[in-house]
Amino acid sequence: MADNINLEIVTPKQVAYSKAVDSVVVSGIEGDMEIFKDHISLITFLKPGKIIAKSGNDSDTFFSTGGIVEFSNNKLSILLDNFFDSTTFQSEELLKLKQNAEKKLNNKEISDEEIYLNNQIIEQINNLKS
Amino acid sequence: MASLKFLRNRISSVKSTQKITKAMKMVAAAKLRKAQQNAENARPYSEKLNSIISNLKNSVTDMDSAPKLLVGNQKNETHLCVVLSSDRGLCGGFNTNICRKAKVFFEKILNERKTLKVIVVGSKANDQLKRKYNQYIIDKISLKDEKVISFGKAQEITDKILNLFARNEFDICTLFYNQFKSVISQIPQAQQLIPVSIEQKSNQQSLASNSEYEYEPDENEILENLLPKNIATQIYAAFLENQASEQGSRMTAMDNATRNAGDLIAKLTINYNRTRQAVITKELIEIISGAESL
Repeated sequence: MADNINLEIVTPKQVAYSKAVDSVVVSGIEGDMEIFKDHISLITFLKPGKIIAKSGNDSDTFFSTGGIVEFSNNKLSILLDNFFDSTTFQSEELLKLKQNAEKKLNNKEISDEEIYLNNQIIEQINNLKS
Repeated sequence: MASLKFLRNRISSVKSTQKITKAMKMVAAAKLRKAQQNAENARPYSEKLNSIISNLKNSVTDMDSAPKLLVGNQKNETHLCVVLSSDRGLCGGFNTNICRKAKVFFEKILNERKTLKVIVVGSKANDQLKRKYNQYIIDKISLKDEKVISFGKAQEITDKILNLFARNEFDICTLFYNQFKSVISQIPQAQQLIPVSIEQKSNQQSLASNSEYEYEPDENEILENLLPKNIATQIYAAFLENQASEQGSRMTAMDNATRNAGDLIAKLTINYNRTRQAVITKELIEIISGAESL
């Protein structure tokens, strides 16, 4: 289809997702955004949150605690630190990430940015669970 | 000639050695497949990251304000070498090859009267390097408690390196590991981590696609976050390559050992049979000559 962008999600472990989609919603570090075809070339960071790939009426939802997005020539590459799809939203690993974040928050010496990011992780994971 | 009992014992001991090497070969083959898969799966990520960074590097015009990790601190005095090896032996020339490559590099640096610092990962590199370069080794990292190398371990090493860099303890960082080419050939590699060296071939491609990127936040801030991540990724990728190489190397070594054991058993068996025959002949001669003399 003409309106497609090629989405590729890669993690250090594998190519997690590769498909042509209509649009992708990501939570960038400076705000959420939805990327459509012919978006200007872009590089940005992700904060903890959902990634939603929409094609037609279908959509796939993923979660990650951070990564980088690169978009150029209608090719969207998302490099993620970790990757969870809807089947693993309840997994142990996510729980561990949350506990990790909570532990880090208890440490008084971390920067404001880290406090923010860790709070985000907890909030977003709580959102997923409900 | 050796006694029959001695030969019998020898044959059975070589046979049991052969069983062990055969088992090790099978285990290495199974692990190799997995390690190879892991290494291949990790490749797209590091390639993507590399291309993003090379794109960014091209767009950085003001070299003075660029992050230190990208351009280095303009000196070439102190070298930090990170040598990745395995924790287990019996894998042919795997560890020796890395160490040989590293030693050549060390000698070059020392000849140029520069300062050398070494971090060894895995006990085998430590064993081989400590005799001659013990005073240069500043850190040892063991992999004993890690069954599968996780990204966390790579991150841990990265943090150590970055800490040292932040304290101006070194100028140039080089990583030594074995690149997995095939089961029988692994190539020891020396890769410069800091300042970042981007392969030339990816440059060409990026020049073509170097359309104006929109950066959010700005380039330098992205680079500053991206570069440490890049180092961790590269170390992780090197770990995976190394692991595949180790298993490949072990498989070949054990295959050779099994074959050698087979040859040895054949030789010993011939020897054993001849000795046995000789003993029988001797006894017969004794009996016959005894009977004749009556």
